[in-house]
Amino acid sequence: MASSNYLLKVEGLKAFYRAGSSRVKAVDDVSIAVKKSEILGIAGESGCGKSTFALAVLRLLKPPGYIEDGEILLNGVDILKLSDKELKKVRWSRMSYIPQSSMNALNPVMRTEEQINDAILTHGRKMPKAELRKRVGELLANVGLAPEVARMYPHELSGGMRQRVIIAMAIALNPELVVADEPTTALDVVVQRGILQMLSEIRWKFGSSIVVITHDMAAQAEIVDRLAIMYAGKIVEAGGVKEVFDEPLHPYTHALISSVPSIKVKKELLGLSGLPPDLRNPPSGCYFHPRCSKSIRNRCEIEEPEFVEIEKDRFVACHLCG
Amino acid sequence: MITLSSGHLLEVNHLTKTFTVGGLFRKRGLIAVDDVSFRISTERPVIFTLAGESGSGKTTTARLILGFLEPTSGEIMYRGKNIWAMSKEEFKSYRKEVQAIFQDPYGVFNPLLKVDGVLKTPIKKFKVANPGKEANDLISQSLEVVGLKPEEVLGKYPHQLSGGERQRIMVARAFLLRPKIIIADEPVSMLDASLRAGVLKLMLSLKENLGISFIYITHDLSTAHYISDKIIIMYLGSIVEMGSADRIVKEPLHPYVQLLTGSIPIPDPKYRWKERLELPKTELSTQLKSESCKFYDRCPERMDKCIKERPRLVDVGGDYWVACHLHR
Amino acid sequence: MLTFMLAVSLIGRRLLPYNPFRVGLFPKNQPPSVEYPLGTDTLGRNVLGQLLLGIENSLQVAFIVATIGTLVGAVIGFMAGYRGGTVDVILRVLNDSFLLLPMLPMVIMIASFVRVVEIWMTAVVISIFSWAWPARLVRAQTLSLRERDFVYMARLSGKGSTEIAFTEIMPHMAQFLSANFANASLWAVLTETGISIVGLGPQHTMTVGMMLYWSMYYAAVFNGFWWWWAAPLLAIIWLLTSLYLIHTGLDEIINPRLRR
Repeated sequence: MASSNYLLKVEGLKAFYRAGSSRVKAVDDVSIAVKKSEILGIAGESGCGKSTFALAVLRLLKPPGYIEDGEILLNGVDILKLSDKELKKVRWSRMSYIPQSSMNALNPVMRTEEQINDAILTHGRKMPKAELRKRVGELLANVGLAPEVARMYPHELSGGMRQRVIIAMAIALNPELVVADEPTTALDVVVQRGILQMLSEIRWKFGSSIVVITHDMAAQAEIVDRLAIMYAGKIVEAGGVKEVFDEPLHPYTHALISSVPSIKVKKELLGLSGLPPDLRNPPSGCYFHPRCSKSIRNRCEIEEPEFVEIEKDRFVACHLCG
Repeated sequence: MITLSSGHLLEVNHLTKTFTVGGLFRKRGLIAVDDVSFRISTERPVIFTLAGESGSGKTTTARLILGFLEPTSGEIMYRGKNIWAMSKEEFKSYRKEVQAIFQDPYGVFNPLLKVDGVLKTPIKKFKVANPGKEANDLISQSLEVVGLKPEEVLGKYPHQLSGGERQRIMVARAFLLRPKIIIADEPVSMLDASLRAGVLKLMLSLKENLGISFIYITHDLSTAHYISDKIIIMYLGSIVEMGSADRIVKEPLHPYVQLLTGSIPIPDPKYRWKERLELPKTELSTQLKSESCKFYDRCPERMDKCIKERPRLVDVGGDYWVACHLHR
Repeated sequence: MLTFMLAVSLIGRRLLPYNPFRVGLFPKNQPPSVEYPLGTDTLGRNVLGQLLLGIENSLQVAFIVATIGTLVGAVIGFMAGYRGGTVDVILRVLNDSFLLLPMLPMVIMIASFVRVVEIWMTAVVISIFSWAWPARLVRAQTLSLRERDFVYMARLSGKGSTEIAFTEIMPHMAQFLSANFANASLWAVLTETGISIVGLGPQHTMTVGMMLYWSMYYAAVFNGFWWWWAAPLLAIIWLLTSLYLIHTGLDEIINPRLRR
């Protein structure tokens, strides 16, 4: 694997939350890579650790969360070893973040253009007013908003438009990596399609890589190139999106895909019984074994499966495969 | 007891609800539900979906049917009697036979009380069983029907259970009253995908094995298609298309519904959206005249006729209805 | 913390072998020492003794005011919020006008009619102004709670309005009301201090605020009798802090989610 192909390489990331006297293993030894100009999807249900993972990669994790171990290489540079000052240069200009429910995070008393200006000036270089205004206009056009939106306040915009403003802010400095956490929840289905397609375009137009974190498997199927499935803080399967959907190797992936109804094909919906494990006290062996219909007795409850590459760019952590 | 005097179990006729919004001086009328009509018959249980995006009026319709809001005009007839003309007795009977489950599996519970309360109260209020052993048996049985083990669930507080379990308790609660219709308002949208399937399949089994009809309210057409027999699509308060679930999803007629079904993400990378959707550049609220079609602004096929005359809901064959000038 | 303070003041009061109010018992203006732990004042009274009595009385005032304020406020606020309509409008107008009343001039007016001499009088006077704010908050809470799913669910299960009010909405507000109570107590202590300093406090007995009043009356600051005013001041700060801590503690007890 030529390392110049990869924009981001995460190796053995471990992130915990302190909870009273114990700690929660939110991100448990995760290794994943993002190629240049690709869209990587991270899927999983609530509590699987995908949001924590995003925060950790961007070094936005605040106490009681903390990173214990691992390497995060952005173009070969380990971000975890950067000083605060160096990190500031990297933030927003090379990696940016769209948090969950961020359309509600816009400052209600500031006009759109002021907020975009803020994003640009805080993390980029100083710009003369005229150039700023031009840049804001360009950004709004890039996300399909009319120039008038610049002078508007957040409450005058619909949910979908606010989300587009947030995206404009995230791409303001042309970052190489954009991490979007649940970018389309709470949006109507038509607007959702528009936003997802826009994220895809940003990849083509600006060459950025995008990490889309969402539990919505249908959304993942629509726009991502490669997909990783997380469960209880670990990645259980990863690979090209077509391969993962066509032939899910891990039972959890299979259950997840089969739980989503499709209007194209009327199929029997599978579900999963039970609950995700308590990460303060995870089960022995494979974390998924209590809910797994195919678990191998005397193997799965004792031994944790390793995350291996069984084919080119096809990874899985399961005793059933290899 | 309400005796049956017409063929339909539930009849909603020209239901309209207007809210007045605005402060002391600038009052506007917001038509949340606009002339909505549909029926649920007594012959076979059905699952009926009221689908639409936010602002379509589907939740308000649910509240009207449940009697929480009074209609501005139109009527809701249950077993032939207008619910607002019922006596206290009759209305109590109505409440027993038409129940509901809501979206937020946490917000429905009082966090300070054990979940048992939610099951005991309706038994007591509607006198469906004698207190003591009979009531407890009913509760246990209902919990088992929804796939829960009574010993694992009773005696706990809401925060000790998962979203899926809480939602199932709500179904058990509705079920133990032996209703004829359950109105389910976004019952799975706050649940994880793997838990959704369970609740959806539960609804199907309650319909098929126990004859309970459902009015399923959602914006998610994928799940609607999975469990419903019939779908009604609402837009800004009006019904724009109504018919069998398969037909609506596969061959929609109304341009809005086409836009909707085309925008549903398919969980299979083989089927991806082909065209690029152009989102509106600004969404300034336009003053719609009350005589024009509500979808005029966004309709790719609009004609002059559409601004002058609002299309009416017509049967285009096989109990399939559309409100659009393109289809007459 | 407050329990400790309460204990101290209550026990201390009982142990007091003399009336701290009487003048001339002790040598005047003595700085703190072993014999007189907090010193004495110009009237020959033991500051520690005064403080003990004062704390107890201040707390009394605080709790009376807080109880009346929270109760009355809660009832009025709830009725306004739940019923809505004309009831709401009438109550709201009443509420808002009370909120706007300037307290100090009003208290002065009242005090000029009724010479405030006893603890309970102070309490009553302050109470008049204490219910307005809780009422408004309770009303807002009720309005938002009224539309919540669990209220609808209760109606579907057959509960009537009054029953819903008590079994569903009130428990949700318990946490809120206890916070209100703690707040009201805090406010009452401050207000009492304020009123007393200006000379409108209960003249016949001692509260923490009255101590400050007397110390100012006798120009303790000028004369360097720092212990006379420092003690009550510290006591006030301690009172406020402990009330706040109690409030946080109450939170944990009432909300089962926060229970560990």
